[in-house]
Amino acid sequence: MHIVAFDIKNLVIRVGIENELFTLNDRGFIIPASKIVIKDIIQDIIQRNIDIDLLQGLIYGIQWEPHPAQLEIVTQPLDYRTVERAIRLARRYIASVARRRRLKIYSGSIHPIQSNPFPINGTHISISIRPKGKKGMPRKFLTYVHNNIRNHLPELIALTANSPLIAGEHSGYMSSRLVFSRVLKPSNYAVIKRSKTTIIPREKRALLKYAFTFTDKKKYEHKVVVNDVGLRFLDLTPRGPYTNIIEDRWASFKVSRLEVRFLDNPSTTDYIVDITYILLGLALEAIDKLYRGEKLGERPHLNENRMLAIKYGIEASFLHDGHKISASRSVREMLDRIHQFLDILDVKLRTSLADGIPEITFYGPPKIITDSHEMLRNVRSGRVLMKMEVHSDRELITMSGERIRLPKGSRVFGLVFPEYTFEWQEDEENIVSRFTKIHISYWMLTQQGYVRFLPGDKILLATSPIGRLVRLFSFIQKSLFKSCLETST
Amino acid sequence: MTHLLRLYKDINQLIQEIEKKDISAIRDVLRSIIGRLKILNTLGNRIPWFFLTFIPIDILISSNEKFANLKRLKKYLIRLRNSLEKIIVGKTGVRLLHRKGTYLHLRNPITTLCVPSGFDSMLPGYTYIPGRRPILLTASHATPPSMDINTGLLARRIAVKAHAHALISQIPRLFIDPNRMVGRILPFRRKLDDLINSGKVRLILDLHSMEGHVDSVVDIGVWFGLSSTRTYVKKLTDVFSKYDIPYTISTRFIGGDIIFYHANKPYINAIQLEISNRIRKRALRVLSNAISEYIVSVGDAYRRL
Repeated sequence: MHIVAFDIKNLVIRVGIENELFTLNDRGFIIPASKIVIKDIIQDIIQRNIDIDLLQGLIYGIQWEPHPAQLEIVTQPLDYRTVERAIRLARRYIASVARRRRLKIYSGSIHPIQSNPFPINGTHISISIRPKGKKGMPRKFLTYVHNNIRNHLPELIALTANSPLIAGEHSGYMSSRLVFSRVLKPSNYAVIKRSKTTIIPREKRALLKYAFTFTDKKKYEHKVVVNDVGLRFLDLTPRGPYTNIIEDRWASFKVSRLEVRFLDNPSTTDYIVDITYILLGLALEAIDKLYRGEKLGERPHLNENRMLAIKYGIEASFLHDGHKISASRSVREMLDRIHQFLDILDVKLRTSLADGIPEITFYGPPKIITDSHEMLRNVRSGRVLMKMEVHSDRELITMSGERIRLPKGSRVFGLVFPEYTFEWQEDEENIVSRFTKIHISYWMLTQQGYVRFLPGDKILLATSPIGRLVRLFSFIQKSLFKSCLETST
Repeated sequence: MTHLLRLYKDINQLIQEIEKKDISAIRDVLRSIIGRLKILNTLGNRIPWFFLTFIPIDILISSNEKFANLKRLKKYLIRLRNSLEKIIVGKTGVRLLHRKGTYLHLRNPITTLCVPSGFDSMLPGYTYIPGRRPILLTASHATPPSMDINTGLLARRIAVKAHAHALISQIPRLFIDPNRMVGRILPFRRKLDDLINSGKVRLILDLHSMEGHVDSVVDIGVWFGLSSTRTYVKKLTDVFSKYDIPYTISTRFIGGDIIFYHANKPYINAIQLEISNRIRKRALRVLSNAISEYIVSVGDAYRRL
């Protein structure tokens, strides 16, 4: 048993979580209803329908997000044992408000159909560890914790990646979120740099007109630098007084912390809590190394392994000292190592993560069931205008809502569009944890009305809007030629 | 872009040749158009999707026979030309359109032109009030939950008072939003198209409501000036000034898919009115009187034409 070099009683640990959620209608479709939910919450606060004091102690706020179907829970910086209560309470409350409006909350990273690739959800976890008596997380702590978590990025990504589906098909990546998100660039190895100036990156010059600014001589001279020019939106970033990133710099020492942004949204509170504990374990491991005076270098093949984890998740094979090691083994080794730190914290992992099994493997990705693969292929490739022959009697719903019988063998032409029926699991009340099945059926909009496509119907023609115009102009050309011939004869 | 511009030029030329009734020239232009379309079809999935976004659905799903008559063909070609204009303008401002992605949903059919289960149970999902004047009032978000309050009431009241047409949606926006691209496949929007194609409607007033904490009572949306001519907006603002109704133009809302898509057609103007949801009783009556007066004056001007 390895004996740790620090006494946990001399450390103050604070954790803050930002958890993004989607609003769904009762059919599982993303709808821009975050405003409705937030309005109701404000009404509750005004009318004192909720225990504001309780919430205030746990929740910093509920935040607007750029997409009108997204909202975000932001907890206060809390003791690691309290953070679960905060996130559970906030999610339960938001879900209950949504229920009043016949809405649902979805806690996944990506909607399997409507995200293309946006909107995307994520969970950010902020960690602050400081010795008792210090105002905030010191630079050395920040650097060590950053570098240790960064060194385990491949394992952590493999363990949390859960967004393989985008726009109804497999994107080829286990974490599509990390591939498509514009705000998650990889951070560099953190170093403490003495700098008299802050260089303003070109991208930020619209925000601050300066090319560089001189920093206060007494304060902030030593910075924890994870990106030389101070670009924001990194997958792992220090925040507070010691960062060189302008938007993340706050004067107060209290807010000095490390923010972890690369996590795909865990579907349940249990998973959120477990991943928080794993991060805390890694943070304490870093502190242990710091107290021992061990150097924490950059792990070889880090970027390659990071990419492999994004692509294959837990199925990846990581490069390791000239040979390959499976991601699952690497994850288990990491978990075994941090186990003692979790014991010190007196916490236990309760989900499949304890055995190194990501939730996407534990529950499986959503199954796509379609009435016709040929139809799906056509729609995906943009050939949405089709001619089909119905193989059985059918109803045609006219524009005025009347239902007319369409006899077997009728041929119809029109615009095909999919109808989705979702099946899902709710591990927490009124919160869709994950979609399990996606049924795709098809309708055709014809000049006369709507016809449902059924398996067995024959597709006689499928074309894109441009293909349709080509056919149309060819027809006009032919008919003109014919009429010319008729006139001449 | 070059191919699009050339296609636009060819279609324009075709319209002119149809006017001249020069059959051989028409055939030459048609050949050129077909060639250009074939090239466009090879330039990736994005171009057909652009066409689906901008070109009226009824042109795409009509039977070929509808285009056999030269007079009718010319009518369709003018609409096609207008749509191409929008593609060209849209392509040049593609960033802008992406930024306004929530309005247009410039994505792909699998994620955009799709409906949730039970969609057929909601059909037809609209109420139509016929009118005499060629002006149509639409209230696309008139059904709870998350409805635009007063819009259904206003549409009915004004339609009766000013003898305008009114189309009121009964499908909740949280189920399918008629003012988004997916709404184009709903009977509500197909009816709107029918009214325009039959020549019964020349001006669309799309009614919505906005949060009432702003100074203005009405925000007028004209899609960067693409959906309506200045004259109609000027007349409307004159009426609002006369009734002392504070208004702004495209301050918060530029317009949704209804005014964007249906104003594709020649001689059709579309204006979105975002009405403050704070106004009640008297103010609502004043607004209803103002819009009615506007409809009467514009409608009668059309009749004189």
